[in-house]
Amino acid sequence: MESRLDALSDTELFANYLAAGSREQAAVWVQELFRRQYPKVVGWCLRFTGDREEAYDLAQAIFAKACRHLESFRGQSKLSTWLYAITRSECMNYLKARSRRPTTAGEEELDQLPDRTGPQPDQALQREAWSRLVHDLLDQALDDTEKKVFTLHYGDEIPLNAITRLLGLPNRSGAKAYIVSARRKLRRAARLWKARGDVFDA
Amino acid sequence: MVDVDPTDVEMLRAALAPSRGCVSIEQLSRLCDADRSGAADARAAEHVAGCLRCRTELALLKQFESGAVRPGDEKDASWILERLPHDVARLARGDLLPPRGAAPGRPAPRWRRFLVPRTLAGGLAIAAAALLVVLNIPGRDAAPPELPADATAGPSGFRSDAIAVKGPAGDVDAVPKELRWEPAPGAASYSVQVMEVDRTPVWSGESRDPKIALPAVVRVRVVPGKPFLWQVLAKDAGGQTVAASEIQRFRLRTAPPKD
Repeated sequence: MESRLDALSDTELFANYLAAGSREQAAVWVQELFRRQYPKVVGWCLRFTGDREEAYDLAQAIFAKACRHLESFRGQSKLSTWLYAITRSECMNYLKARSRRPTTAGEEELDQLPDRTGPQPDQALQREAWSRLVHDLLDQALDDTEKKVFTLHYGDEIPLNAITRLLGLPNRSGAKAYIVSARRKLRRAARLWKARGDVFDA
Repeated sequence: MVDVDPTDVEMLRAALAPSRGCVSIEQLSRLCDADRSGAADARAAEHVAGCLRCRTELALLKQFESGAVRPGDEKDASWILERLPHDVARLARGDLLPPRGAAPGRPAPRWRRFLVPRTLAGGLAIAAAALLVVLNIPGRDAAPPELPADATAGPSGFRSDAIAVKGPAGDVDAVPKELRWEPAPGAASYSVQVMEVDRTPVWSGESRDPKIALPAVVRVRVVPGKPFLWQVLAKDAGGQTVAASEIQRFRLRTAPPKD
């Protein structure tokens, strides 16, 4: 039976699941569909949590959700992609449940924007323009790992220790070291930008 | 002209937040596949090339698809991979998962709220409490205290939610030939599971009667001093769980009982 199942594609397994006449039959196809994804989900959960028990809870939660919603899978992507979306969402919920906001290295010393509080009629446009400039500076000044660390930390608000595990950073202080070095590079890049006369002008 | 600090936290958050142009997970997946097939979605590829957020997301998706386990996590991954198939088998059949790791002060995972029927919540709470009692008993290498036959009994107010078990429970004098319980109202069949004390599944079976024979493959594993857990779930004609027993624990005595 196992070798017969191995020969089937995910698409075929999912079609068999939809056509199953009983819950027991459907369970056979579901188990094989998900069996193929276990290493991906488990590896990810371990990276995210850094704890065996929590990773197990998280993996159970992911497959419980996947079992409940499998009928909503439309086959427009690979099953592994659909499961990745669930995995990522559950992991973010896990993080939010533990911390509303990540600890940010050196955050307190960086809040130095001059007079950002004054009302300005075109503030939204200004901020959008600044955001684009900062994005481009990040892209130009940082190395690949720094970009990923910055994006996960500031874009997704993932704590630094989770980023360290997720990206498999081998250095002693992990993601924090990348944040510190990236900030330094970013300030230097901004100074060069200004020196060329390209001030952040909204 | 306004001077802006590019390392301002709010500025960074705004710069790295998703934009309207960011591609979907499905598009990223197709880009992943395009690495192998060469057939890329040109527009999505162009966006990703200039978007830090999408590039990071693509890298994470590739990492997920690789199924790579972080060096040092192999043992923990194996531990989870041993247990997960059994959990998924239960979930796929529409069963609930028994409580696990119900340490004091540790919140239950959110998914249990969706899986556990209200009618079973009381019984499962008892089962969780019983499991804690069980796990606090010293291992088989220590001088084992006598196990009372009602070791898993909880507050009597909840007993009606659980299937009453006849046995085996506690210390037994002989290897049990069968597991027995009282019939549950509305039950068309029963699903039984025997487990190690760490809840690793040993054997499971189905029965229409309020008893089930233990097969030889299980009986040979019942050796003096080694405890086992078991639980029975009652199913209605549609296969839905309508009642559950507390988790029972039994152990073959290490020495003949004293008179």
